[in-house]
Amino acid sequence: MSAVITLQGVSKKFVLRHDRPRSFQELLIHAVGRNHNPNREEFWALRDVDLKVESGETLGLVGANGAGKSTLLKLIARIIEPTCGSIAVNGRLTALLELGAGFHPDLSGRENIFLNGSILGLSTREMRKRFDDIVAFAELEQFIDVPLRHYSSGMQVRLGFAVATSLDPDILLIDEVLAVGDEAFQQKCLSRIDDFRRCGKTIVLVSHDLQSIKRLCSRALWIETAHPAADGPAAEIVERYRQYVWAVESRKLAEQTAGGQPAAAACAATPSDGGALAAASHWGSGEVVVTGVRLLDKTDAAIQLLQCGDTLTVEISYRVVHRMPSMVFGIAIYRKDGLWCYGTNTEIDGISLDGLPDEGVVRVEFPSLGLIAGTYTLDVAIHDSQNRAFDYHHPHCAFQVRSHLQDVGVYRPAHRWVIPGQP
Amino acid sequence: MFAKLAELIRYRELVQNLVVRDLKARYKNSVLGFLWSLLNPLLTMAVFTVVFTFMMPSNQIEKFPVFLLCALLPWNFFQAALMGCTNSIVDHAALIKKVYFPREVLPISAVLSNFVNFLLALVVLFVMLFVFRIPLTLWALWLPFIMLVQLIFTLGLGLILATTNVFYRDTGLIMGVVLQAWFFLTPIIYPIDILPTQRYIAGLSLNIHRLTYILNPMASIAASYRVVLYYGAPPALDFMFRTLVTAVGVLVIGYAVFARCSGVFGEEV
Repeated sequence: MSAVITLQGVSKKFVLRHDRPRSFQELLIHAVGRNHNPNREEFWALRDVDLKVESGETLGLVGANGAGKSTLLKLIARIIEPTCGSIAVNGRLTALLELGAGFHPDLSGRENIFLNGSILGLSTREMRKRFDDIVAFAELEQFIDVPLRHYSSGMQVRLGFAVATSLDPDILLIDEVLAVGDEAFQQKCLSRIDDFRRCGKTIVLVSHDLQSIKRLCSRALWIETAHPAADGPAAEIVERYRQYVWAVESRKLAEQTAGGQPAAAACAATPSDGGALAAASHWGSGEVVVTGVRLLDKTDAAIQLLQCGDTLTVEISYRVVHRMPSMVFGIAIYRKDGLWCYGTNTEIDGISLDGLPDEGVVRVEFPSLGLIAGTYTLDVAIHDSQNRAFDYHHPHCAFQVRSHLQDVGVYRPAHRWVIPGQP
Repeated sequence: MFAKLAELIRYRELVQNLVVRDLKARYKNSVLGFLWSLLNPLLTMAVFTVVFTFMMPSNQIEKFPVFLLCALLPWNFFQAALMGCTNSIVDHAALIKKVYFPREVLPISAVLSNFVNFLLALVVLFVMLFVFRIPLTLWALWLPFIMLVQLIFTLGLGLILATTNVFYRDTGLIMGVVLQAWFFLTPIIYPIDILPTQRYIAGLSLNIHRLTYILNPMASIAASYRVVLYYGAPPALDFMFRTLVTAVGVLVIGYAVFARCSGVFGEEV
């Protein structure tokens, strides 16, 4: 094992000149005006990065948008130069930063394969050997002599990926290019990357799909605002990063709630479905009213975001204006697209409301809410046993469920797999 | 510097493929295709011939179309190659931001693809020489040397312009005017001999003829083409070699400027 990529104290500074002289005229004005650095803003995209990637390692880079992941890849690929520090790369390197960079629309697929190959540093002779494989992998046999102009964007991407991965590099840099093509082709790409890994190639991968980082990488580096924040086994780093993102998002949601809404309506929409809740309405005869609803986690802290399987408590504050002979509290959960996921009320569940005080809170507890990841809305209602509404809120509020799993459907019933040969 | 040159040699196939791409793409959607490479100089020649023989009957130059073509074709090559170079980096911004390769590949292929076009156009010139019964002499063997000098000079200047255009886009805009002025300052539509050897400007006695030769490498290049092809006479050797030295100097400077700045192309374009 030896280091194939070595970065020592690498920093990259971008200078954002908001009104940099882009023309001679402005240059002249600047020179005369002795106003040399107006609005000059320096921006460190990366700071003091030390990194060693061993031969055969698959390294995943995680971090928020703009944290510096792509800058790091570009530095390793020599597309940009570091402001300070040194970068040593040992071996043939291919960077998949964009598929089909340099494709010419007027040339045929065949001509573009050779052109693209030579842009990536391969000789025509080598390309000729790989040509059939490339065409077969891209599944473009019948279109190979058609000008690229007539290709769909999916076909172009397929061709780009096929050329780029046919190069047989020692080191492969991949930036988010896996999120292209249809499902079947994505699987093909992933399995080709698996092949690379098995052959002992070194791979550095940027992806926002944490699941594929976990699946493909042996090691992960978490970059947070230009600094490497954590480095270690992929599963562990991805989990830490997920927790962190989680915490940040929850805090953001909480701040929004605390900011604009009255205290009673502790439950607020997430920014993405503010529209849905703007249309929130309630109706009813008003003998009993809902004065507030809160969503609580198991520590009774207000939340709008929960993990699949977490405990959720819906707390309904009510006030009785005129005491009625029959009263029923009900809730319903809808998926964002309107699918009715679940509904129940105190009558269905056989709960007696005898001795209900004139004012108070009713709580519904879900010890493990098994809804899969998504955005949901909650209806809250108080009505009589003939379904005549006293106060019906539809929808009352929204909440989000997150999950680190990618299971599909509506609901995640508790389950386990039994595999023969395993205890 | 030498490491960079060695790398450039490794990428020679890319240059070749880019030249082929340029040539293929240029006439891809036209009916006449590569025939335009031959037709273009013929049509230009026709226009100038009409203007300078029918509309200016005082023109005494014999076989004017050939006289013109000898200098016009090299000039067209020079102009197209420079414009191609100027935009070569900026036009390939998407590529430069995503893939590493020696950046000088782009201006070099811009010059070379125009050079190939020039070679095709030369076929027209030789046909015209034959049609107008101008005999080729042994002096025409100087042609490859003159072409080499022009190639070196054009590439050197092109590298500088490609670099400047990345930082100041005015370069591309101003080149249109500059090249037009340069065209008239170069003996293309007139023989270099009509330039006065003595002229008083602001109290100074200036030898315009000599100044043009010395200050404008294209003048000596264009004149040399004409001397060896149209007049069938030996080229002025001292000027030829002086131009060669100038051209090599421009190339060295151009390459140095380009190599120094090309590292930031990835973030500036």
